[in-house]
Amino acid sequence: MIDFSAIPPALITFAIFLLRVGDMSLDTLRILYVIRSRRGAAWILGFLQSSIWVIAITSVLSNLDNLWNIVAYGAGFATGNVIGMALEEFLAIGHAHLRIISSRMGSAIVEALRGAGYAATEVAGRGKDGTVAIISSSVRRRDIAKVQKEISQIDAHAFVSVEEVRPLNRGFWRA
Amino acid sequence: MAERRRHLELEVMDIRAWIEALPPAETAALIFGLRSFDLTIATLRLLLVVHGRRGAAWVFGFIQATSFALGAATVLANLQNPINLLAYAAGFATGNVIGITIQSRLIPGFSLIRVISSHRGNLVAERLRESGHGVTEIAAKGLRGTVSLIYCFVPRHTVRRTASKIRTMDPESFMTVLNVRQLRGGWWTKATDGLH
Repeated sequence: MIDFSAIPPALITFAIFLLRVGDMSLDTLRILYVIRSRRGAAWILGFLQSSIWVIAITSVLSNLDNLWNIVAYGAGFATGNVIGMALEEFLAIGHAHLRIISSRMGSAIVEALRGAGYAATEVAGRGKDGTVAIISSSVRRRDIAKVQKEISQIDAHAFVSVEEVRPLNRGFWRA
Repeated sequence: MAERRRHLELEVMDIRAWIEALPPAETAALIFGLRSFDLTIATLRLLLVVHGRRGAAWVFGFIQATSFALGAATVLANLQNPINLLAYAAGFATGNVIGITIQSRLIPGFSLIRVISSHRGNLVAERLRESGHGVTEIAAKGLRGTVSLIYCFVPRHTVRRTASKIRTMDPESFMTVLNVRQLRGGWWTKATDGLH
C-alpha cells in the first residue's frame, strides 16, 4: 500500500492519474492478448496488472474524496486504455488474412505477392460483371499497410478485406 | 484554490451521504441501475478496444471510471443483504446484455458472411445482388458434388437481417460470419459510403 498522506495534494491527483494509466495500459494489452490466445503474454501482463492493482489502485480508491482526484482517476483509466490499444497495434504480433477480389488484375497481384515472398492462393469466382479473381494471402500484421499499398498500385479498384487469423499450420511461408 | 477544493470535496461527500441515507428498496434499485449502466459502458468499451476505435474507447473509459469513482463504488460496497446482492448480479448481467445488443449499431464496420449452398447458390447470389449487396461466388466441391461458396460483405448492423434473408432463400445453407478489420476498394464500398 502507498501512503498518500506524505504526498502534497496536487501530486496525489497526478499520482492517481499516472497509476491508473499504468494499470489500464497493461490491462488493455492483456485483454487484447487473451482474445488472440497468447497465453504466456497474458499471464505476465495479468500478474503485473493485478500487482499494481493491489499495491496502488486500492489505496487510490480510498483517496477519491474530491472532484479533481475523481477526474484524474477517470482520465487515467481512459488514457491507459488508449495507450494499451496503441501499444498492441505497435507490437502487431501475429498474422492477418488478406482477401483480395480483383476483376482484371488478379494474376498480376498474385505474382507481385509471390515476388515479395508471400504465399498467395488464387481462386476464380463470379462477381456482378463476370469472372473475378479471389486471392487469399496471410501476411504479418505489421506488413498489412505495405502490402495494401502494393496491391492498390497494381489495381486501384481491387476489393481488399483484412481479417485476423490464428495460423494452425504454416504451409508455404517465406515471409 | 484551497477553498474551491474544499467546496468540491463537500459536493462529492454529499453524493455519498445521500446514497447512504436512501431507504432499502431504493438502494437496491440504485444498485441495479448503476451496475447495469456501468456494465453497458464497460461492455461497449471492451468491444471498442477490440475493434481498435481509440477515440470512442477513451470517452467510454472516462465515463465508466468517473461514474464508478463518483458513486458506484459507495453503492456497490453496500451488499450486506441478499436483495442488494441480487440487484447487483442482475444489474451486471443486464448491462452486459444491453451492451452486446446495442454494439452493432454503435460500432461501425463490416462483417463477411460466407454461405455454402448445395443447390440454391445462384438464387442466393442473385437475390442478394438485387437487394444491393456485393456478392462473389465460387464453385467448390462438397460431399455430394458441386456447391457454391458465396462471399457477401455487409455493414455490421445488418448482419442478422441479411443472414435471416439468406436462411429463407436456402434453409439448408451453411453460414459463417467473420469480423472484418479493414475494408477498402470495390464498387459496393463506394455505394455504401454513408453507412460507415
